[in-house]
Amino acid sequence: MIRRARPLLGTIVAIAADAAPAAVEAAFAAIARVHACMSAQRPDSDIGRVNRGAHRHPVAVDPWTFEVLERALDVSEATAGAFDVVVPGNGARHTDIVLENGAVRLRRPAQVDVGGIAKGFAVDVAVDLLQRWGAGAGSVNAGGDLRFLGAKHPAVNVRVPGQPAQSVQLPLLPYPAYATSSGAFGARLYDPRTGASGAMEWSVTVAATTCLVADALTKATALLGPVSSLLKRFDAAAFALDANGRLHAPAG
Amino acid sequence: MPRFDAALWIPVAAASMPGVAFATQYLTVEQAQRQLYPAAERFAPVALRLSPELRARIEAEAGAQADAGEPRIWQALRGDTLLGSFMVDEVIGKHELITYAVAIDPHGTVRGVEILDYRETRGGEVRDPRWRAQFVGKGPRDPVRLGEDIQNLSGATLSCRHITDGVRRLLVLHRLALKAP
Repeated sequence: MIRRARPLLGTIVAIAADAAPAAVEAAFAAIARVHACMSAQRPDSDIGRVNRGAHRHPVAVDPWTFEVLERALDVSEATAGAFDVVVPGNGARHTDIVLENGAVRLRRPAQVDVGGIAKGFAVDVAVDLLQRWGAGAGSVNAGGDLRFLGAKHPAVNVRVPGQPAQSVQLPLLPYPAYATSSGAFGARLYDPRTGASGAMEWSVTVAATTCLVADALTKATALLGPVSSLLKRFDAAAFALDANGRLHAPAG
Repeated sequence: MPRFDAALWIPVAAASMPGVAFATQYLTVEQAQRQLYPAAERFAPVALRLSPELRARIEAEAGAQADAGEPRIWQALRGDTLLGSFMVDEVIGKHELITYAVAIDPHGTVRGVEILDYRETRGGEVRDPRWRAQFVGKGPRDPVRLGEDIQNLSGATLSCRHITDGVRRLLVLHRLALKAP
């Protein structure tokens, strides 16, 4: 099992895999490509170019960026905007993004930030690559966006909000991907429908078949609570962990 | 804002894992040297003593202070040819200590960054002044930015920023103290 970790995607990305070193290198390279294409901070990234010019003319983007935006719009529609990659302002929202022929158009000036979903996507492409290179076991962890390779995986521990040395073990689930949204360490959760942000003294963990879905649904579930139709549609499970370390599952 | 709505959730039994401190060694120094400089035949340690003036200048130009003293530095050599510098440094996250290695080529370009050790703590180190010092002056210089502090899984973000700061500082150190004039 090879274990490597590098600073990428604004976090520490750790890869463990029973694969050749070249496979692990390829996985890191894929994650770096996601970072280069989708960082909102980089003016030369796809997202940087979309934010500058897509309200004037269609901006051609990398197929991966296109895919992430497609999937993001899917989740936005299903959550009535509780998940939205459009930063609130000027009344802009996800319905202002138009995707056609590999290009992005904005119906009005808007700022797009795929930070809430690209990390999960990056984990997915890294896992896919490792599997294509023949890895049968291992994991990719991007600062808590986690996906395992292979059918069997160990139990996942979730940190208790505000008590980093304490954690709680999730029940074993038939899902390979996990993501957590938490207000621990002073992070704030924001509501894309209003632009308001606030402290969150508990955390939401979503388990799903892909890390992209888990990543996007933690934010929506933190705002909306567990919506059974949503979890069913995306084939996901949700848990909440309160500040006292009590684990909760959706009621009903 | 997002309140925990007890009506929507029901408690479930779960094993509590008290006091688990996570620690992983990804690479030893020697393994990282081989990975970042596969062509190198030997690594010559560099004894570097920075004068207080030079240290202050490096910190000013990099806009970042050293978290844990000066880095350990080697020259990667093949015969008499200098392939680049190899540096091992430490940064302090909010609740972890991270040792990382950077390879910088003779032109001053980063060739690679690898994390060697990631060690979470149980809280005892919080008494260490170094741990507390990291929060001094952090307020206005750390604006809350979308996709970074907000809506992200927290915890590792600060560590990553510290590594980024650390690499920037090592690049300035390389330019001012290591590069041949």
